[in-house]
Amino acid sequence: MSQQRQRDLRVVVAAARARLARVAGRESLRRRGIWVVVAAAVVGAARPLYWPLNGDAPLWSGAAVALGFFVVSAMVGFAVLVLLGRRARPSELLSARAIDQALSLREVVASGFAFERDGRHGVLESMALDAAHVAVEGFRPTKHFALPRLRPRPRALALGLGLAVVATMIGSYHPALAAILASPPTSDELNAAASLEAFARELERGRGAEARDEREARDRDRDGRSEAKGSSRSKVRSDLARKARSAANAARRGDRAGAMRDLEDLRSATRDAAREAAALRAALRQIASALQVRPPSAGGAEPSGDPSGRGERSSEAARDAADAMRELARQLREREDSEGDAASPAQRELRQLAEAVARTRSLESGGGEQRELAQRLAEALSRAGEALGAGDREGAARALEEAARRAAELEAARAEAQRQLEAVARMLQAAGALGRSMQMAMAGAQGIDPGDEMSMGMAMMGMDGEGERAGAGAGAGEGAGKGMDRGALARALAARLAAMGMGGDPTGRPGTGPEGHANNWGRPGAGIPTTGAVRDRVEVSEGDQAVLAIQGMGQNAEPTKEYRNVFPSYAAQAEEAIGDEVVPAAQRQVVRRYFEAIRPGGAVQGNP
Amino acid sequence: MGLAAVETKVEQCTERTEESGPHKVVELALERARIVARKLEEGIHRVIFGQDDVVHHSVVALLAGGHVLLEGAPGLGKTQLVRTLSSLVGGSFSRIQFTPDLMPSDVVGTSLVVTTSSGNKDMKYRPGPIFANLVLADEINRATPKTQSALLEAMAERTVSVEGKPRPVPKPFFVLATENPIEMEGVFTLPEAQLDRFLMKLVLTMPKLATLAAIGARAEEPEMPAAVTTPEELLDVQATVRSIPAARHVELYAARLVLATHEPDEVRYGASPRAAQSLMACARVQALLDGRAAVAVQDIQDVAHVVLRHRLVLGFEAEARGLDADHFIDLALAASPVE
Repeated sequence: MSQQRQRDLRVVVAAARARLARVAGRESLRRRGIWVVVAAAVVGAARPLYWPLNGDAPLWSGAAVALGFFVVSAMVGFAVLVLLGRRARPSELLSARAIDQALSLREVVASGFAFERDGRHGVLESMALDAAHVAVEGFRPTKHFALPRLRPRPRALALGLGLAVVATMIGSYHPALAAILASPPTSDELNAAASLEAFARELERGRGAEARDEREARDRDRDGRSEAKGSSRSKVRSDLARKARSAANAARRGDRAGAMRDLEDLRSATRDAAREAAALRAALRQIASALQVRPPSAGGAEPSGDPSGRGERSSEAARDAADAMRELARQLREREDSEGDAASPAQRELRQLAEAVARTRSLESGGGEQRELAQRLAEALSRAGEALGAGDREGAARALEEAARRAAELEAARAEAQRQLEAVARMLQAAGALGRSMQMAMAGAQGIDPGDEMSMGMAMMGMDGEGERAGAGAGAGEGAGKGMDRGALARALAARLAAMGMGGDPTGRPGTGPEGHANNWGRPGAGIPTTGAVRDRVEVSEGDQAVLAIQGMGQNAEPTKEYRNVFPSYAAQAEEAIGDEVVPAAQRQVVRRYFEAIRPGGAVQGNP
Repeated sequence: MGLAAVETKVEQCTERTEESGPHKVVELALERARIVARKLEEGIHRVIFGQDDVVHHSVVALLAGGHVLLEGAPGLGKTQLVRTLSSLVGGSFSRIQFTPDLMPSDVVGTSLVVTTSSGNKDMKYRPGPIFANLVLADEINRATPKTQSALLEAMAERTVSVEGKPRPVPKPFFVLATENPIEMEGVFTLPEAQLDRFLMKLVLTMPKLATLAAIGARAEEPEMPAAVTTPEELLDVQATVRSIPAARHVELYAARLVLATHEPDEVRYGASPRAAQSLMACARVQALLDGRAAVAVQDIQDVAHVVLRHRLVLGFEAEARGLDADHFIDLALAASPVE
């Protein structure tokens, strides 16, 4: 036998082996494919275990991911099956035997191949090899080794589709889904969420207008300062609006825990912004005071209990600083005209400028925008001081005029922040409404009796009133900060009210008692349906309202729950509220006395 | 092509080896062996109706040079089969009816005191019936183990030692022993070690209805057929059979199959290495009869039952469960991979 014929036999056997590998792969797929589908279904159904979704992910995302995992797992499994099947392909000898089987021969090809492989070239072995070669002439692996059909049977197809559906359904689990099913969002929550989102859009519209102004200002001011200022403010607005929208979306999804977290984030961010604005206002007032041209406005840096008119005072303080600088510049020019009597006044003015510079430096610890403006103001004041020290009164006057312009810019920034805080305050009002409606819904889901729900709604209304007052006030910056802090106080009071079993509107809106409450947080004619002394009209200022109302409501009211059982739920919040320095100092002792009085075993337990 | 024509061609090819080449010679030798085997089978079937497998395997054993143990009820044609075969081969034939009082010397022969022409007394060896080309050992299990051993030694060694002098049996030497499984009284079961000397064990079964009717319709004893071959030619055929090659994987398969018979717990003793030789020998004949120049795995599978059947010693559990050797051979076949 020639080497060519030997090679032909090997080629045929190799081709048959490759074909048998494909057959084995398909056969493996055909026989074990259903188990791969089952495994893929398990992978898809277990999606919540290894691929948990965020609370704000869309509800359909779980199903999509589970289906994706199912499909990918099935594909990978099928590929693995085919590869494993191909790896289990027969050896060359078994392939030769398969050829014999296909040709209905008794190992003619296998024996010839084995003799040729083993190098046995005796007479009879050569005859066997010849017979093998004759047998494989015209042999076509593709013809003799048909590939198994992969088209699944109807029953298997139905089973696979059913598994896919089941896996997708199980894998579509969403954290909010269970909450929605157990306690779907109420109409109040949906309304409050829509309202909150509307305010968020309003805040963003303001940001859009601000952005246009920034572009225009950038055209005018090429040094890029406006861009820095605008970017900072836009970022704050955008961040607040985003958090508000996130809370609204979470509430719509039924993710109450997530919504409450978002609301808390929103309050925290608002509190920071308000503190920054308050610090700016106080610093401006101190600069004016240092220049001592005009006494600073009444009230000082320490905020008072009444926030009304704070914004006005802040603006006035800023104007005072600018005016004081301009007045000092004017006086310097006048003295320049009358040389000789400059020694003593100049020393006083130098002291004033030095103190003003020191006050201004304190502003540099603020935010990016404030720091930049404060630096420029401080530089101008320093130049004025240097010029005055050198006896250059005209130069000092020019520097002071520039400082006045910088102070005016600082005031403009503060005013913009003020407007922003007003919008934020309105949004916070909506956030408060959303929070109340969610708490009501959660209380309903936890089986609290209607009396409790109404009490909580009423209690939350008190918090709302404070927030509204804080947002609407002229001194919105500081007012908002206090409002947030009083929110914590209001929560503690809400728990106390719940313990007292006081009724209220379960929607969280102000109640409609026979005599409207005398505060200004609710609608006209609305009030707290209480008993006893609280029915009397109460003309009190903000901050005192809740405390006085509670003191009144406690009179002659019958508690619906054991006081000892409910006290721990609000004790921690009460301590936190008292310890916060933002609580007006004038009110701290009142609040502390109140909580100490109602503590179990206290002096007036159950009847504070 | 007839046998005579084949022989002529073989002679011609042998004389002109350089012209025809070794392939042609071997091809003709294989063809001659196939014709002999076919004629033997045809000749037996003229006398024996049915029992195709027994007839076929008897010829296989004859060509493989082994001995056969026939098991069957009385009247199934065991003796007739051997007589026919001996007639066809054309060699010497002897029959030994084994009985409990049969002595070894009755089988292998003995020395007698004879008077020579000069009047002296002398010992002269008188060969026993074992010295024949075909020996029918009828009802071998009726003889004592001592007598059985004398026969079985001759079967294995193909030599008989009498008075310290080895005496080879004639070639070809082919023993067909029969045993009756029905009678249990007064029989001596063959030792397992001696059973191993038989190449195969054939079981004659009751013929089917049509076969039985044909047997009954026969009015006279059938005439013994004429010889279709000679002992010398039979030796050539046996040599040709032994030259048929087997691939490595076939040899390994036979070994795996033998080892697999040891696996079941119910089998007390599995097949011996001699069984592997027997498997290959019979498989070669199978390949020859199938017209192939190489042994296939299927050839081994074809003869596995008849070759291994009497070599397995089953345990009590197997007998209690009513399992026979064929069951465990099937298990071994199923458990033995080709590669």
